[in-house]
Amino acid sequence: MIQLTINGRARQVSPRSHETLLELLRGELGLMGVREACGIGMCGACTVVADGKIVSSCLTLAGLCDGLTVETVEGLTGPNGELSDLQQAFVDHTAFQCSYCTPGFLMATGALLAENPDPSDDEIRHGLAGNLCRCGSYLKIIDAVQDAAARARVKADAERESA
Amino acid sequence: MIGERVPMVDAYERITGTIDYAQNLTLPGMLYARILRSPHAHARVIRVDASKALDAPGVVAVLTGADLAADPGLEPWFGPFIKDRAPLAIDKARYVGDPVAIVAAETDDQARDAVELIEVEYEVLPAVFDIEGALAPGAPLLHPGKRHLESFRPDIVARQPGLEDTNVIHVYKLRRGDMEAGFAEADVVVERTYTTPGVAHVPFETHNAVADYKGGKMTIWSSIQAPSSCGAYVAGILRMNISDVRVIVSTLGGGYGGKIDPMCEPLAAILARRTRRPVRVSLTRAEEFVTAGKHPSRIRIRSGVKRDGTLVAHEADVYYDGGSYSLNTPEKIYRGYASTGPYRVPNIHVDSYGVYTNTLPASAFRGYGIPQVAWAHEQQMDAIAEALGMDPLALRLKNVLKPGDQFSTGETIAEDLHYSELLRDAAEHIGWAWPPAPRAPDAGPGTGAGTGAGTGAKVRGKGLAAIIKGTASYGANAVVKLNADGSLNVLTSTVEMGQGALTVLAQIAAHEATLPLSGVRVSTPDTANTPFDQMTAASRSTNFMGRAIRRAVKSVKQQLIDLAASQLEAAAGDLEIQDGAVVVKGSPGRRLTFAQIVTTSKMGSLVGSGHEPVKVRLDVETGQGVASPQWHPAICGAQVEVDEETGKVTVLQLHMGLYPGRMINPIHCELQVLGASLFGLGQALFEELVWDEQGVLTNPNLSDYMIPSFLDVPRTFGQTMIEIPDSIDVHGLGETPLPAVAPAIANAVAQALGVRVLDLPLTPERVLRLIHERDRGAAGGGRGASASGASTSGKEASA
Ligand code: FES
Ligand code: FES
Repeated sequence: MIQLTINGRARQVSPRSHETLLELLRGELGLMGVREACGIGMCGACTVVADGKIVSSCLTLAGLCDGLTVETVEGLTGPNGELSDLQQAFVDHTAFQCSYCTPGFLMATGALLAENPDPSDDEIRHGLAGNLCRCGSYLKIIDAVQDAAARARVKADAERESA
Repeated sequence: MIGERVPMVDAYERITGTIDYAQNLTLPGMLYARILRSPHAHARVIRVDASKALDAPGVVAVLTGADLAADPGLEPWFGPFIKDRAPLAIDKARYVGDPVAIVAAETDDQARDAVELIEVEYEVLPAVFDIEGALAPGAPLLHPGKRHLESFRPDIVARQPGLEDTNVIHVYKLRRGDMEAGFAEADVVVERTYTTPGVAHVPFETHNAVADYKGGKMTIWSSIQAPSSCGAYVAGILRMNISDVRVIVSTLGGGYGGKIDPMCEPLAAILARRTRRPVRVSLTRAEEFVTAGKHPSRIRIRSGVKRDGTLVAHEADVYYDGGSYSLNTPEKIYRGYASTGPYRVPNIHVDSYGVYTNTLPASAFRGYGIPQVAWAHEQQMDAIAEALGMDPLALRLKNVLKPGDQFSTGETIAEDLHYSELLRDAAEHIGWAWPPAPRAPDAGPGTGAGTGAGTGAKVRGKGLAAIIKGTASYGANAVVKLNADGSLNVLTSTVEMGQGALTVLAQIAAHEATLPLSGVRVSTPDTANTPFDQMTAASRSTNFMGRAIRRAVKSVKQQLIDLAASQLEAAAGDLEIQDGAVVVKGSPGRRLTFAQIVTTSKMGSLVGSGHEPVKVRLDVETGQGVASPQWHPAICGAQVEVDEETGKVTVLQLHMGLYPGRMINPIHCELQVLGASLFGLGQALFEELVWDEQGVLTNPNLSDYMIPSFLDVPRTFGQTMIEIPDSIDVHGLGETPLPAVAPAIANAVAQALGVRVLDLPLTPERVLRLIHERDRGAAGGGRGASASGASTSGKEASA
């Protein structure tokens, strides 16, 4: 039995011995936004944020996750299902086609923007190089990430001014 | 709203991760199935002992090919043209990975463990792994004996006699003009042989399906691109009525052609009927890699050309390696007609073959046979230009199809496909100059064309390619239902796989119905309720399904006018439709909304159906006729940098030129062009399925098989789209850009290096080998060849 905090909620689960975090999240916890494409850490489709760091949930043994705080795409939306600014930017630019890779990109982008609030084209390409999109939506993803970064900076400036 | 950049109608579900892929579905009591696959490329299945597996915990059923053959309730053999495949290998396995048995168990783990317990005794047979081997005299035969044909394509049936007891799946022949006379007229003859390898689709959601059998009726939830056809196959296999097999598709995590053929559905359905439990069959990534792929090809082209660059003769042998089962190969090999490229050639002789080998069954793949011939014909154009000492752009402009010209099939291409304009535009975008300008000084020593040998310099080159692509020859059907509140349901079997079909078809329906987009809902396929559609493929849906929907809406509009005429006591001829209402012309006050008309009619809804027919026909002997209801052009201009020390090719720029007709939704057009171009780039540079000498795929994972990442996306990517304003005529884009990309890159590499790579992909090893050959051969003057062979001859050939 392990304890996890998933998208802000405490959960107790008993993973099977070889169960990955990916299988646990999709299976018992029913979080279908976490997806497997390669299963070997090469594609980023299964990316979640664990204790603030992005991890490939397909490579993470669930049994070793005791005490971890995990965020998935399901945790990005507001209490009434409002999209986050990052999600909205992805929608506005249609930064996806089949969208199978999208949750992974969103989680990786969140981590990228936390480190670098104003990434250049080049920094986005390198920063998201661990996430693959077979539909090839990459250039729209750059547009969306830069747009989201700009929105976040405008918001931050406004908050500073009002403070 | 035609032409508007509307976000996807299901964008919210997509961005929140809540969209339904078939793989998300779990039903109460559902069993999980796992497949046992042949470890041998060609082997007789002597005996299968499943007793240990049957005794394993949680196992509910085990099925083998022999079980299928013995069940009178089944007709296991199926296929779109030749019925040469069964859901499990019967008697013989034909490739490493061929499904031999399947286990259904309470949990996925139990099924996986039990599969290991099945004991199979094989008698290993000699196998063939490539086109040469399959066609060699005395080669082992994959499918000896009588072939069982699906008879709906008489042209295919007519060519089959004589092919039994060979490994030739099918033959297409094209005869136009007088080839010998054409070559006699030629000043220069250029001959090259080009090859392309097997490639994987790599949809991020693997093939999967759930089947449930209740009350004598089958329901299948699937990730398939062709739900209607799938329903028909499953009905045939289980000897059921098509009406009793319901296939439901929500949205796909990628398809790219690989999800047209049913790979999981027949097995899930058979198991569901046997066990009376819902059954899930899902492929692992490794299984996905051996389930479908692109046809490897070998294409020899001999071109006769006059000194001024006029093409006068074209001879080609085109071989597509169909792998172990024929699937769509008999039809696909017709793409040999496009081995001329989009050019006027008066004298043509093409033999195009599909060949069985003991490799994975080659399926439809984005581009459907055109990428193979485009790889050949567009490098051939540059090779011809080189032999003539001519600008490759000028050579293309001289020969490219113009309105009113005849294509290789003899059909007149009446429509302006804008080749000249798009070629010039792409050339301008990449800074094309002839002869190539010296490279920028900051890029190191040497010039762009064939210098810098052995210096370790980075050399740059530019290349162009033009292709022509047709579409599938299937009609489209749609039904629309106008509800009592004036909202519209559109029922189609078009599959949403990320291309934006639901959004774009809704835009078309809303436009035709004069309704807001929010008033229209396009269904996803459910074959119990949506009309037949052959497949969502061939870049055909926006155009053909769009037209079928418009016809269906028109039928409802006519009903609205007729009803309103009596409701308004006006002559039907005085009425017109505006913004969701019927209005008396000239008196805007006298109007009835759609909702008022439907409600007053007491019918509850108005239903209309639309059918968009398609006619194509090619002569059996000459291959002449009409090959496609529409033709799509694509141009690619590429700029590359090649590291002569490592052989690494970097694509600096791609500029795509397309003629979409009218862009219904420019966002999706741009995404399709971007996505298809990157598919082309991956195939140009690194994508390749590699088998060992036993026929085992050595790279069935995303570590050893690479797909384009962010780091491969060219720094500069542009697209030029020529539109017809105010029309809603559409040219498909889903595949169209792809075939132009690899040859444009190869032409750019050839310009940079002075040697031509005739075999895909342009891996560093292959490029480096060529550089070394070039440098060794430099003293002897050898140039422009690869392992595949090349020759140029002519009265005044300059090579
Ligand atoms: S599924 Fe985990 S990285 Fe690909
Ligand atoms: S949108 Fe399909 S994989 Fe990225």
